Amino acid sequence: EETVPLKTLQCYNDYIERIICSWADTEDAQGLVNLTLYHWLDKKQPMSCELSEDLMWSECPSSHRCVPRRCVLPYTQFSVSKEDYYSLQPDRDLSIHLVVPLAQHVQPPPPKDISISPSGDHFLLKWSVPHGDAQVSLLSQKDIQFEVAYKRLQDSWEDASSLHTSNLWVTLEPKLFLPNSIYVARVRTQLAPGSSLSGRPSRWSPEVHWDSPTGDKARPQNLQCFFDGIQSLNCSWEVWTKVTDSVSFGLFYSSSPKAGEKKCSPVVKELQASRYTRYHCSLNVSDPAAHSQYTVSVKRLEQGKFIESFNHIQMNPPTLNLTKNRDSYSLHWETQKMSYPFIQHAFQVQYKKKLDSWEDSKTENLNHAHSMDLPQLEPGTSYCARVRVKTIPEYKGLWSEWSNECTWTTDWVMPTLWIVLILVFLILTFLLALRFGCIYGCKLYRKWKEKIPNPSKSLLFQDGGKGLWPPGSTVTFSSKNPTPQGPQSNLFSELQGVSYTHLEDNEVSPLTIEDPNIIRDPSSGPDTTPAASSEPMEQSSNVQVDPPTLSGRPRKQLPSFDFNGPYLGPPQSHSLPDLPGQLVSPQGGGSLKPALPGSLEYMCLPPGGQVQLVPLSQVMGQGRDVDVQCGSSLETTESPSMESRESPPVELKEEEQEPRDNPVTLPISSGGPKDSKVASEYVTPADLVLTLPTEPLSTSLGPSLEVSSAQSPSLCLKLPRVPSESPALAPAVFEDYVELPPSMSQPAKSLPGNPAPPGPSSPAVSPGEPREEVGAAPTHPEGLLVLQQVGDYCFLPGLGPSPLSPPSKPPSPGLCLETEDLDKDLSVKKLPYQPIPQVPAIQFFKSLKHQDYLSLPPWDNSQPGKVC
Amino acid sequence: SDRGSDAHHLLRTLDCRTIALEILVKLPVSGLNNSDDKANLRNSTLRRVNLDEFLKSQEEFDSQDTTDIKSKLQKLKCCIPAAASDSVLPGVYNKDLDDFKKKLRFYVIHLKDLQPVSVSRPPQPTSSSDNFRPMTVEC
Repeated sequence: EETVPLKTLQCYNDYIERIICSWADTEDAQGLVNLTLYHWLDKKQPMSCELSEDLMWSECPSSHRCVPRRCVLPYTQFSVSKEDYYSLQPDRDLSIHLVVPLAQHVQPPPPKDISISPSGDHFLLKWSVPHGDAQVSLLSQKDIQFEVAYKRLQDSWEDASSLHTSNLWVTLEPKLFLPNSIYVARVRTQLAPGSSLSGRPSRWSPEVHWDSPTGDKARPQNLQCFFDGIQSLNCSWEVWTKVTDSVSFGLFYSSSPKAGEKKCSPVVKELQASRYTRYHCSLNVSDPAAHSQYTVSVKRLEQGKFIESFNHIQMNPPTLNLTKNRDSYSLHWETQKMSYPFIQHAFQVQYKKKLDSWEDSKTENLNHAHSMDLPQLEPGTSYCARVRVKTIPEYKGLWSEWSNECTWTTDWVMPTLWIVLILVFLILTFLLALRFGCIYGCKLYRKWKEKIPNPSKSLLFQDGGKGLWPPGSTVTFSSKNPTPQGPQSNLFSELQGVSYTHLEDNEVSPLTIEDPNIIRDPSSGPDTTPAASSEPMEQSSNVQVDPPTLSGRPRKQLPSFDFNGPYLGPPQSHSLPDLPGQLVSPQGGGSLKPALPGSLEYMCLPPGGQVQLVPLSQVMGQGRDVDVQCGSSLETTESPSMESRESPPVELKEEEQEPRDNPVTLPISSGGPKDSKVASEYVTPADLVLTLPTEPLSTSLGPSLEVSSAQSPSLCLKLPRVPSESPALAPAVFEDYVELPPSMSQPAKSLPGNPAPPGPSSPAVSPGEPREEVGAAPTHPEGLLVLQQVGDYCFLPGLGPSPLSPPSKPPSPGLCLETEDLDKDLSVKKLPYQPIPQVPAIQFFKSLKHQDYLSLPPWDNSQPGKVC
Repeated sequence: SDRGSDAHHLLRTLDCRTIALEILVKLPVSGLNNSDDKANLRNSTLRRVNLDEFLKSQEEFDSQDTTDIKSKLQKLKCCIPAAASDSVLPGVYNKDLDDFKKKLRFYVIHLKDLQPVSVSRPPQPTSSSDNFRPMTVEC
């Protein structure tokens, strides 16, 4: 094997003058021996070496730690014919010498081919001896013998038994072996005692193994005892290790047959890694001479312990039953009858939900009890329970096993939380339903209420209508309608109540609320416009005219007519003595004529439906003056209405009383000289009534109305005039005109002393005969005064677009808006310049009144064109 | 510690009152009329003497121990120590088995005040000792 220095040796030269070598010695050898590197060529030359940091051209073996060295040798005789040799030599001689006499140094070869085989109840062990190839041998058969050593596998060879034999085999008896063991044997060759050769035995042969016979493995074996020659008898035995876990053995001895057997103590256990456990025990031999023989035996030790029954009681599990009591449950259990009835018991009860584990169960400990009431359990849930028992207190023991589980399911009951939630839900649902019901009910109520007619919502009395209320109308009403005295006071009170009921829902048309006296009052409103500046002059002229006409009576006491259904008559409060005064005034002089030029072309309605008499002579002429007067009146009317809004209720009250006063009015207006006087000078609404042959119509129209003195018009609506060329008015029909009585056609003749008969008695025009419109009443051959309809009103002849009328001027912006609003609001009204059926003025008045109450007029609507 | 453990192993506590109760429930219920006998059986001074007499009577009238009270009576000897003067005191006399049971029952009823006592255990038997008598009491 190449050493480390040689493995690491490498040399290189410059082929000029020197050789350099690198090698390493091991660190361990370096301390024991010093090596020197030699170069062999022509002669053996040592190289000069020194320690180096590392090897230059090789590596140190991994199993060693090297000490590198570097050597340099000067040399110049390089040639290819030369062979360089390097060697490493120690620094001292390391050899030894020995002279060997052969006969005195003999060691035979070991036996071979060793084997063992059973032979009956014995075992046969055989081997052989190698002879070699030598022709002459110093060793002969007689010079050798054999030594056989055997032991159990777990024992040591020092404790092995041995046999000597000169044969090449040996027989082993069964008694030599312990049962149930593995044995091993080996053989070696020795020089015979009588041999001339000397030396040492051979090495041992290979080992051979076998199993000893099988025996009772639980029985102790290999009991051996040795006396130490002094006083101690040492014994040992072996027991199968697996048996020692269940059975204990002891050593018993006796020194003589008569002496009793004693137990040896203490016993020492020897730990060993084998199938057997060895035990040791020493006996003290006090008198070896007297007791030369001991009987020793290994026996089983008695095993037992005291266990008192009364302290080790475990009863059988109780028998468990369940009982249901109304809303509760109780458990009952029974135990076995004991040997002594006074023995007491303790019980442990567990119960849980069926799906829970017993670790989560509830446990109750009870003494002497055989039943238990369960607490309130969850409804609709499966439970199970069990019980166990043990004895107390003098008799002790363990808990019995648990009894059989008792299972049951509680009745389902709606949980309180559920009940609360359901109640809350129901209450909320009820509240929501109630709320929606209320909302729906309110909605229905509003819809139902909206369906109820409400005059205040009428477009006629919207913003424009409010301005028509004159200020101070309350004073006018109170002055005109004092409380009646006498038997009629109760009736008057009832009428007032009825009026108030209507006042809650309705408003009064401005056509019936204006008082002419108030309009004429200079302090009624501010005068800031040019039109207003001219008004004082007109009013002052009116005032100047009025005193002569109303001499002897205050202005407030002037009578006026109320619009009462189909009749135009004086209010019930007026008395007959007032009429003569009024009649005298027109006769007083011609100054009255200039005072009434404004009413020539218009029929003006005073507040409260009062009707003013219009002189026929003025109607025929003075068209232009009427226009101017009428315009001034309208302008004056607007501001008072806007300032006052309290008058409508009062006026309505007065109007509501009129229908009930008809029976009272008729006797007053019965014929007489006074009536004829008035009729001869003026045209009154009563004279315009058309007498029909049917009885109902005659009754509704009434015979006649008492007339009052003529007054200047205070309120009139100026409507656009229809051109005379309009085709709508050309073909006049019977219903478009109102026939005057014959006496009216000759006013000059009847005035002096021939009063004309009432209107109803005059002959009527036969229906179906159309009349042409004429400008002058006297020219009509039959003596009829025909009214001409313009828009929503009827006018006396000459009021329309006749040749004598001046050219029409455009109305003011305010008036136009007001007129348009009125037309739109009233469904029965007709737009101007449209071919609409001709309705008498009285009918329009009644329609207006009815429109205020949002109700239909009392006459037959199927004939809208019927003449009044 | 080994000595303490060994001592504990060799000694045990005897519940005397419970032994008396066990004897009581084995005996039939019957009344004792003789007032003198009652007085003697209640006398705590005569407890050991009476117990010895009951043991003798049990052997005489119930040798087969049909009522299973023999061992219990023997255990009571540890609970009721003997006195020096017991040998001169007269004990209860039982004329027959019924009389024995009647008087024994009355006697045992009045042993409620007995206290527990410590007694030694019998020695461990060996494998060769077939005559082991664990019932032998050593107080």
